[in-house]
Amino acid sequence: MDLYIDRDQLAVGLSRVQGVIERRSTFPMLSHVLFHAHKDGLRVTATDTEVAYIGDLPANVQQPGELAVDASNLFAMVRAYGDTTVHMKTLPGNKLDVSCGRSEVRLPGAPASEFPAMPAFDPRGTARLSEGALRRLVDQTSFAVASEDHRFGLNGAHLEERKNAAGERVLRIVATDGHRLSAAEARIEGEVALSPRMLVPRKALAVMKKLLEGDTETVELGFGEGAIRLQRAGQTFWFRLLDGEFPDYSAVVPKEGKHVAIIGREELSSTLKRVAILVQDRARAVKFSFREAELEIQVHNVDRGEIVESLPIELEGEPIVAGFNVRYMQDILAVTKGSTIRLEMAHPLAPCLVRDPESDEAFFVVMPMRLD
Amino acid sequence: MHAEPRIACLDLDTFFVSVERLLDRRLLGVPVVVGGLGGRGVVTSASYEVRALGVRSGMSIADARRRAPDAVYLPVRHGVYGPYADRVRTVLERYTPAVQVASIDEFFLDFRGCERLWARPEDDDGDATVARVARAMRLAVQVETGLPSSVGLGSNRAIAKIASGRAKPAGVVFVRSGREAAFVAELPVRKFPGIGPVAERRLQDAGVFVLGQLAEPTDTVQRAFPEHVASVRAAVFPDEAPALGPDRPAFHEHDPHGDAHGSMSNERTFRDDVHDPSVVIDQVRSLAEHVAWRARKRGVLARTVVLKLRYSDFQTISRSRTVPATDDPARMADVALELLKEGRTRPLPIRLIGVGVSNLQLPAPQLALPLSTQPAALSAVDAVRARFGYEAIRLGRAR
Repeated sequence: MDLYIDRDQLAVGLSRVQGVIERRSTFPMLSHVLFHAHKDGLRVTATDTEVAYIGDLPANVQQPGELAVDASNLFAMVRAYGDTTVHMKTLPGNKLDVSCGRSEVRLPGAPASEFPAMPAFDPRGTARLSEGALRRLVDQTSFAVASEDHRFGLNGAHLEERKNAAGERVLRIVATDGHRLSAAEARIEGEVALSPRMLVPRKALAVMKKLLEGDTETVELGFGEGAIRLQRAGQTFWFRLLDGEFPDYSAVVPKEGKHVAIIGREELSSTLKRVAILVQDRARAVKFSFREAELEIQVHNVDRGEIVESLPIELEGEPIVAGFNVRYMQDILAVTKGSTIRLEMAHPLAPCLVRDPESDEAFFVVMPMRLD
Repeated sequence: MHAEPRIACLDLDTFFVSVERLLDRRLLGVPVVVGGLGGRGVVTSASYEVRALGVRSGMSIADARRRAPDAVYLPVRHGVYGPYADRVRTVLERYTPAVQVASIDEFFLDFRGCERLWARPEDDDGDATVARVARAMRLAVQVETGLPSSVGLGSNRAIAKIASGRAKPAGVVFVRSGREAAFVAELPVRKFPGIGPVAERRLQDAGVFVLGQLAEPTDTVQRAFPEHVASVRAAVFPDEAPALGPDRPAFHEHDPHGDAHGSMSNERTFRDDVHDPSVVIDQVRSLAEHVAWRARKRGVLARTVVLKLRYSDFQTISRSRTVPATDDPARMADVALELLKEGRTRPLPIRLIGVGVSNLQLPAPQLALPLSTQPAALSAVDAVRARFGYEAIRLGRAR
């Protein structure tokens, strides 16, 4: 293998691989990237056997060939290069010679035959949606996936196909950690063939966030037996689904709230940023007092101080006081775009429905906290 | 600053008997015993007429019948007394927001900060105000619920509790600041909360009979019973014990109502010793259901499940296991049954079985989404019981 490649292209390709590799495995190949140089360019492959990534990079290939090397060291090296062209060449004894400008390193490698084979994939159906839409689905839901692995049924995101209010077919992603829930949907075309009782693991969501950087381009989802394959221009991402029964979440989505508040999103976000500074312990509630035309947010922390901020709101229904985990609210504000945010609740201890009033593509449910 | 006497203990006098008398006026003035009436039942509550004959709660019914053959013996009616205790609590909460339910017939109240609210020109000082309010409160309980009670006031819970015992029947005893040591000096050691029959015997064997001996211990007593000495001294010299001093809330920090403290358990002595494992298993489930319900009523979760087992030859074993915090009866029953399986090593019949929980904690302030059906079912069960009593609904089991 002997090739020249643009430093930035190589850095981007290797950065996508970083989320896929498994550094802590006893099997060293899972922390490696496999280079396969062919006449049209350079293919990079990485897998931890649960997720796998294949990406094609433009390169000037002098001589085809293959070699696997440690992905994180090479990535760190490439990022530190000042020049624009990188020359990679295999040396006898499975070594990779990498040079850029006046720098030259030799990295130990492993033959391609030691690299795990990519799993066979036979889709039962394929569907398409825009890259921006899929990215939004992942962004709006991935933060709510339970972080403790033992929460069976909650440790991944749930997928479903349904019809929206306009009668269009949509793909919906739902995630919950047991305290809050996110659901987002986007129009989809083609054949959705979901495996029942299967969840998208957290890692796959994180990798998708990194990969999906386009907007209007189309991505294709292939639905296989217990696995999904995502294809976008020059890249393939495959992930195994987790076994787990997602709970019936429809019952926890409030149907109608007696108290409805409309709040400026930017204003609320900037208030919460300040409020969060005084929230030491995430287990402590922040007090939200919804009044006729004003929301007062208050934190009292013996060690750090007190903060009271009020911002204008529109409130339908009686005033209400409820406690919330400020982080949960911040997470939602970060993934909604509208100028306002709508909070709807029936009771200070009942689920609170949060949504962007200008969009019906996503909703969020947050359980309140008890106020001392 | 002195630890001011602002903690009250209100104890309902002969509570079960008092309730039975409210329900049946013919029992007034008649000697009454409430307890388990089976062959091995014990006295739960005895009227003062019966107490005069030497009958005490905890005594076996057979013993009680020998001493008071003419008394009226009534079975304990579960679910009947709870609503009366709730009514008492409602009255108490008018006097101070800090009311802690210690047991069905015992309440602790914290009056700190309430003096000015209740002060009247004729009160000499805060002590006078609190003493007057305590008397008014005791009377209000009597008038509004029909239940007699006794109130003790002191600078801490232990002194208040002992004082409430001295106030019986239907009185108020106020232990002024600085008088605690003198107040307990001549009282038997058993009167101190936390000193039970076993500790009492050990203390008596060492020549310690009254609390004064623990409050002002000799070196030998100090060495032999350092913990009892420490707890008694903390109660009678509150100003000297910084750890329990006036700056510390009387009810534990981070746990404003003290709800997470202690343990709770239920046990059952079989009428006849039991061989049949399925009977024992059913009983464990039933006890677990009851304990879990009590935990939910108190709003606490338990981390440790305890199983108690007494064989027909009176050998008693106790096994416990710590699990993720729960108030779910099925979960508690499963753990108790595992403990039973592991702990029951002898082929003897079983005389008594008990299920308890300890290591109690308050649930996190963050509420959970009601995602699974189980909690909703349990809250429905609790709602039915709140209205119609414990026995109105019981958990079934798929066979």
